[in-house]
Amino acid sequence: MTCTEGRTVLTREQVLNLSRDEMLQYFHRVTVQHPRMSQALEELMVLSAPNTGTDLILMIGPTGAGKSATIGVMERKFLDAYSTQMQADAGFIPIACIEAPASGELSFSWRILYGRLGEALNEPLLERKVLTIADRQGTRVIGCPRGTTVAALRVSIEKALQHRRTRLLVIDEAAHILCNCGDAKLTSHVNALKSLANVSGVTLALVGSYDLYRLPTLSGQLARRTAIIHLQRYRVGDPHDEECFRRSLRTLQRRLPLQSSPDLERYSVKLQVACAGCIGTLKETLMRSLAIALEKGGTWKDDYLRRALLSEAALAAILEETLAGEKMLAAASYGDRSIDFLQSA
Amino acid sequence: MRWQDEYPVLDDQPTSALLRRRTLYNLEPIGLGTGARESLTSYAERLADAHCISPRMLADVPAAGQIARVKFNRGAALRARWFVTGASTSLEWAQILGRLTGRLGLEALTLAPLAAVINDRNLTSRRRRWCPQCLREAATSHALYTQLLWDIDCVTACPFHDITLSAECSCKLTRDPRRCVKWSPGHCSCCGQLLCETLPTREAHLRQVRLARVVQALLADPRFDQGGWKASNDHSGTFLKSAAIRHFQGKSAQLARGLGLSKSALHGWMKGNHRPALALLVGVADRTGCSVADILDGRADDTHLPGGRIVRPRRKTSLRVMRAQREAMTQQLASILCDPVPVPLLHVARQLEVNCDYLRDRYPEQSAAIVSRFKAYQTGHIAAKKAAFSAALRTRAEQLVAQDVWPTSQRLLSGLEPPDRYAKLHAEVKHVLAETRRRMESARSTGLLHRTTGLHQIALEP
Repeated sequence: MTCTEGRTVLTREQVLNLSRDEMLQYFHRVTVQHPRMSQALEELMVLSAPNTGTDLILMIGPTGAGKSATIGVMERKFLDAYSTQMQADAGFIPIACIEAPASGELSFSWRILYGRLGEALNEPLLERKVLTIADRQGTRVIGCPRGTTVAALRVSIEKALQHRRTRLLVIDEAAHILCNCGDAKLTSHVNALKSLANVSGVTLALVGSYDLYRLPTLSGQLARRTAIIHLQRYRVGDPHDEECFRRSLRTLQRRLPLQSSPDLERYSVKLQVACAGCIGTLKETLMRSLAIALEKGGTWKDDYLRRALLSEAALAAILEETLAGEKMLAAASYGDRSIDFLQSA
Repeated sequence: MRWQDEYPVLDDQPTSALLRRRTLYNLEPIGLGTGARESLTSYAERLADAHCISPRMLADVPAAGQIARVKFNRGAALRARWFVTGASTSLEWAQILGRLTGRLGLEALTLAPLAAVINDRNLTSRRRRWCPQCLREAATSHALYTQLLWDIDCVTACPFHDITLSAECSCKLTRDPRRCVKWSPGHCSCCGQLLCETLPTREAHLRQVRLARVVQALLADPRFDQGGWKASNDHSGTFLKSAAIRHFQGKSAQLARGLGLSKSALHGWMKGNHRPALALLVGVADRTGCSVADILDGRADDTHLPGGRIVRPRRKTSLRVMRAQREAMTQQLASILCDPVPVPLLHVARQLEVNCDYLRDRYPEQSAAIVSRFKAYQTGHIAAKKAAFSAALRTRAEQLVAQDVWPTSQRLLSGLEPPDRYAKLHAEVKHVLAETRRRMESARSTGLLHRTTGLHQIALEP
């Protein structure tokens, strides 16, 4: 085991000595930085820099493309980049990542979202926040003395973002915000997020599926201040994409905590088709295969891979959604504008 | 390990050390290094305001709750009296807030740097006071805050604006039950209005301003931020001796008269037995034309002859006791009177968070009963202790006679614990000593014969 900058890295021998659950946990933790992820990370770093005029970043991609993994890597990169400042100021939180709640209620629960945000920002006593308002005589009074209101939570989160000097606020599964929303309600939701970014000077990144593309189409102002990062899949038939997928597969198969690593490269194209070209889906398939292999005594059989693949119906649903989304996002992503535009001008 | 033909992989554990963040914001104290430094009360209020909680809730922040005994009192949160004195409570709170915010040196927002060299009796004012002009300037320039200077009892004026500090808002501290007012710095805790708009502005007396400037200079001293003065660094005795030599030919009695002190008080101060009150130090500094730091450093070179007495008026403000506390007090006094172990009135007053004068004024009968009970207990207790001592003394005398050792007062008292000062026991010791010696002499006159005949033991039997 080696420790670098407060992190613990296990050697191959140590991994093979782990228990079954720990092995699965280890493989779950493995994140491959494939080219599409690296590109998305680069764009995210550029757009989250202060004063770029971008308040809202949408990271959109098909399910299993590695959006959440990209956010995890982004969080680590941020922590590495700001480690010196974080050690100097123990209250500094440069990045906050949360998941938008799907509470089961018909309308979106802002209370839960602000609560999660407060926890991410290490905010104490979230259940006892009081909102101070000034009445007509200029008196500072408590808006609602009993219990925390959404407004009080909202103000405390705004203050927390300012005092913690947060640079990037990431909301994963942001499509939950859009559930059961008409255009009017959606506009108010997005305005609430935009205002949060404005007041606290933070860049907001929403991560989710192709549903998120509804947001920039709501108004011109929103479109101007929004940048879209499209985390695409690796297409079958494109030699470069196929090579990238193969290399990702090779990287993952070598990290499988088994005595002898299987040779899966011969199934690369077939797996690319079966996983819709998404590295996240590929990793989940390998996770399931690994679970079977560990259950059967720790030896690999190709049959386990076959059993772990997605069903055809599931694959069809993913492809349908992905193709529709890709069509919708054509030429809408950050950096998609052609150079011909400048040359013709 | 990474091969050349694969992509970079992250398979390490997530960082944990960097993810442990401070619970409270790392707010910067205002006015550090100046005489207008913020008080710890104000810092805690600003911190609570930034977190959208009320100040008393700071005690409920999980890490703060570790020290339960320094929790805020209900309804008396952030009382300036004990929050900035520099005593253990304020120091513990400075440490708690320092730990929660990651901000070091919050002790400099209290009077802790002076704690080793001054007496903390009547150090801070009972009621919070403000300078409306300073509040107005703070509101326009940066965050509203209150100064440590305003919490010091002997400061009654603002040294910057030459106006008196005001303790009363125009609302006369009457609370509107229909509105729940937020406690925040610079706002009245009863009506919630900005204090700089409601406080009266009155011109201060020249002497008040002079004294305030002496304290302001003390707070602006760089040593205040560097841990303050230690008892070993207190050279005020040297200062007093030098001042006596310089202005009164070394006669400390005349110096005591010049400073308005009793001889014994001055002697105790010079010897380091007593710590002077800050008001006294400030008064001496004002009368002799030097700074408090000069007194503590023992520098008396630039002093001038002190003239007149240091006027230390008694506290005029009456103690404010809430109705609920008054009602509870009657019951508590009754239970104290029923308690088999009597306690002095001072202890009762401390227990009820009032002073002895208040109890004598409001509850004369109970106070008189407490005093008489304790006196009777004390008299009986001392008498019993004296009787026990007397018996022990006589036993010891018998032992000396038995051992044929000539009795002296030192031999008599060795191994015994006197219940009082020797001066008070002298008569008893002398009496026992004389009686024992008389017996010894009479025994020796016949004891020589007994020793020679070997009947010594028989002769010593009673």
